[in-house]
Amino acid sequence: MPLVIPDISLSIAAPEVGLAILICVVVIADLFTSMENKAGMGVLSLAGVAILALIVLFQWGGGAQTTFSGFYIADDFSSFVKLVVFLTTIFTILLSLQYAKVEKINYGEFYVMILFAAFGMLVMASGNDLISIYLGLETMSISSYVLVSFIRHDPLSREAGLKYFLMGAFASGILLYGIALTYGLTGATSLTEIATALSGPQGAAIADDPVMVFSMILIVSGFGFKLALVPFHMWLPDAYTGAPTSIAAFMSVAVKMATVAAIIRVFFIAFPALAGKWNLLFWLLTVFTMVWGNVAAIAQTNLKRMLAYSSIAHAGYIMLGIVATTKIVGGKVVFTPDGLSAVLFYLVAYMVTNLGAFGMLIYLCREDFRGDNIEDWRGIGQDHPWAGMAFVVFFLSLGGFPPTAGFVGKLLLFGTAIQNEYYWLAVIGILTSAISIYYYFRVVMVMYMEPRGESQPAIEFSKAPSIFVALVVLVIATIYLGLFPGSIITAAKSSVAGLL
Amino acid sequence: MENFLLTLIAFTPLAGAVILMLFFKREQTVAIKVFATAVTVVDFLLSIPLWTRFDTSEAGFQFVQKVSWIPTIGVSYFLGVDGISVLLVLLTTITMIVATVCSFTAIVEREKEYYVCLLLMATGMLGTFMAVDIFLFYVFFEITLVPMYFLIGIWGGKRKLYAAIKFFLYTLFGSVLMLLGILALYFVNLKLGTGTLTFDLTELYAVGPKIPIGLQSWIFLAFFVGFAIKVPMFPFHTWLPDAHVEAPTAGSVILAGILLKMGTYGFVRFVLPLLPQASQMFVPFMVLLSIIGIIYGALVAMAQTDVKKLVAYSSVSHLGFVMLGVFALNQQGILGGQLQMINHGISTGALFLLVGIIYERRHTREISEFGGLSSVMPIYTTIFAITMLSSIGLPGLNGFVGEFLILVGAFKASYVYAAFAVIGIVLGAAYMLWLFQRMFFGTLDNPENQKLTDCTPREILYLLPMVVLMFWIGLYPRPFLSRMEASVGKVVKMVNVAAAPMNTKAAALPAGVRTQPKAKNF
Repeated sequence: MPLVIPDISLSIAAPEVGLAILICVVVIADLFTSMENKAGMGVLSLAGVAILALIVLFQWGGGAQTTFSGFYIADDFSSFVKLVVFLTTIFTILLSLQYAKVEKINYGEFYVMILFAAFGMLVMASGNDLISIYLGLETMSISSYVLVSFIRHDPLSREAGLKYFLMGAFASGILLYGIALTYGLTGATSLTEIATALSGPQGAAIADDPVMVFSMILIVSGFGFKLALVPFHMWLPDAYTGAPTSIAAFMSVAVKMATVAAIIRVFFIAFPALAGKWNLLFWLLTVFTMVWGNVAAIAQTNLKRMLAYSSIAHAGYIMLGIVATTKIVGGKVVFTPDGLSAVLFYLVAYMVTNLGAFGMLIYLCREDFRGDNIEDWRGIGQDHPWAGMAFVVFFLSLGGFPPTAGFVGKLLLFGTAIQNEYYWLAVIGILTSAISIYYYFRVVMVMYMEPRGESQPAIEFSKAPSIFVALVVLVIATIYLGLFPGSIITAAKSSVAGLL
Repeated sequence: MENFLLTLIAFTPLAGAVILMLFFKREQTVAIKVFATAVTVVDFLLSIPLWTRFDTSEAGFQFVQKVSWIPTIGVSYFLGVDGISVLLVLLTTITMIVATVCSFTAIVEREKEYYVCLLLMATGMLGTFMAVDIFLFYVFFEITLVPMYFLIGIWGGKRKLYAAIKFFLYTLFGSVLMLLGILALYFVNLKLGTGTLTFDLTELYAVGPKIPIGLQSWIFLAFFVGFAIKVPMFPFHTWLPDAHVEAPTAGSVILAGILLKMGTYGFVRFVLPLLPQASQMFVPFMVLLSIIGIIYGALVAMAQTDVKKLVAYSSVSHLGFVMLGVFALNQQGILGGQLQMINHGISTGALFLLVGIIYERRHTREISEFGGLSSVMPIYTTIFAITMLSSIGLPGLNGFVGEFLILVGAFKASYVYAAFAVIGIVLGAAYMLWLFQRMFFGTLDNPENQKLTDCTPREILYLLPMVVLMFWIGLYPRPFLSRMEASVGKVVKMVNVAAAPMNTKAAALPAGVRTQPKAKNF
């Protein structure tokens, strides 16, 4: 039997290859670094990721190229997602440099695990096959489990890690089962081949097969777990509350971005034949997620936990865009690319905003005072108007208030919903988004309208320049994207142009 | 220069706020006050050309500035004023001076933030009235909520936190639904109208009548919720008394004088011309709510024991009048509604100022605490009397002109409408006169009141422009009406263009012909 050498082009997969090299470099360099200088690993990772981000930028506009026997695809869509992942990584590291010391988790492995997670995300973004997507997902997930439980001396963090791991492993199993069933029915794991197998008269028979529908439900649930859509969200509030704050920020943005990218590829490319069914499922999940995420957030007294619920709610808005992208006219499925570009824009907007909101928590955090309760923010707006204002900007953006990035993002998402006549979805979505203002502004109220208690510790923000720089950039970006979103919208549009 | 004038007016307060934030220390309270006042005065001076150089024969937008802003989704930075908005812009710039000056002694803590909020408020409101692009309009419309939230929540009364969040959420719920309406309009235009993605109002005006009535009704309802909460129309008014009572004086003045006008303005600017058939279809419904608002607001006002609350409920009643005029859908009605918006801003704004003056002295607003004030505060009593009479609609003062026009408009639409509206006027006179009697006449038996001092020169100074305007509009309304006529005529023409059979009275009016209302000839 002749040996067939698969087509492998490392240059197409340059970001992944580069990241793998970077990981090795950091791991080795870590061996020669003393405990006090572990932040150097962060700086090294930061520099490496910044270079890789430039490489991705360089690949932009190169058209779709596949390699690794079709397991891997590099196109503008994947480049867009990768850029967001890299940017999130950069900000996460910036926010972690000093924070890791505060939480006494200043090990080289901390940064290595972040890079590993990012590696998984890149693979998910470029996965062109259910297997490669699954592999990426697992790489990302396992690294996240470790990261969540990284504060070993804190039982809360350990508990969070264990919960996340058990639920996540369970979800991966479900997803894998769905993939296996799909393979059994269609004989393929490649996204395009699955689509071919499901088209035509023969394909229609397979698509209607109850087993196929069941496998699709499993895949939806599997991704639902990873994205924490209600009712698969149970792990998230605990995981985020226990995790190091910078990791909660990282996960809320990057994990979401990568999972959404995988969902877009899997459902829009492999399963258009089943669009009516998965769209209905997602419709329900979206409504549950938007409503419950926002309602549950109202009751929280811990700011980190509130942001966790808010991030569930935001997953709902993102899914709203995906649902609204699909329009079924007389049994025929039509996809609106503008819906996907709205989703991508929203993710960018959400990135700058949510990283900023979590960043504020890190800014207040110090060794003997975590500052993640809403009460801890009492009176801060009065004594530190600039810090208070930055937080207000992030809250306004999270609540979808003009002129911030979040507003434009929601406008585009709801615009797609209106365009494709998902009126109820739009109404439910926008009303829940108005509800969200209530709990965001409760914090604003505490910050500005209630005096700081006598017994409360004095306010002392972190003096680390890295955190300060990150927050300033994020505030400016949040407002800038609200005022001048044009270039990002155009980029998002062109990135999905070749996809559908 | 002409092109940048509106931008300059709208963003001068914002620039002032930024300078205040960056270059002033908290302790420099006097400098902060002087600077904030200077900014509002400069802004007013800048807005004077809008009065002098306004072309009264032009129905469309003037002083236009249009720059492409977010071309990918068809958003432009498009400012302009026409007869419907120009007076509101001027009212805003005047009110802002008054609101700033009246706060000098009333606000004694965190002054810097306070004046920053006031100035931000000004930019939001001016932008709302100037925006011709719906996206831009929405941005400004929403922005005003944030500084107002802080004004009520930080410098408000006892239940300020509750009032602030109630105000915020209530108006937000309305405006987000309106956003869906805006988006629907935007996509309808793509299908039925120009086929382009645009938020440009002048282009969207063309598509309005082509929208099928079913969809038009839904869009109408979306806009209705947004604007009716802002106005506020019955039964969406419950946030208003709370917000008014808890807000500091300047907050109440801005709220009554300008913020509420954003709702009524929205109806005239967007709802009537963009959704003509739906507007006509909903006339009975809208008129019913307006009349309930007029009578209910007046009755509840009568029962109040707190002066500020009484004035707040009188706003509900007065804005019911405005809405009645607007939904008469004829020249006189809308013209009257427009003028009454200005009048209400002046009269009710002045009433809130007067309430603020007495509150600063006595720290109570209970009517029963007062009595016989006329003997210790003659100037105050005189100004209060003029303002009250203006609010009631005494001939010779501004309220009369507006109410008369509204009644003429309502009468033309239906006798029934006018009949109910007249009841409201009678009730309005009743609660105001009764209030006046209880506060100013009778014996000065409360020893606390005997120590009261009359208005200071500063107080007289900021009340004076209001009083002058009351007389000016009351005696010679011509310059005000002439500025609005052409644009109002255009709206009337647009809303009646479909000539829906369901409203024959409105359609029977020669569309667009500027019928000279009798009211202007007295």
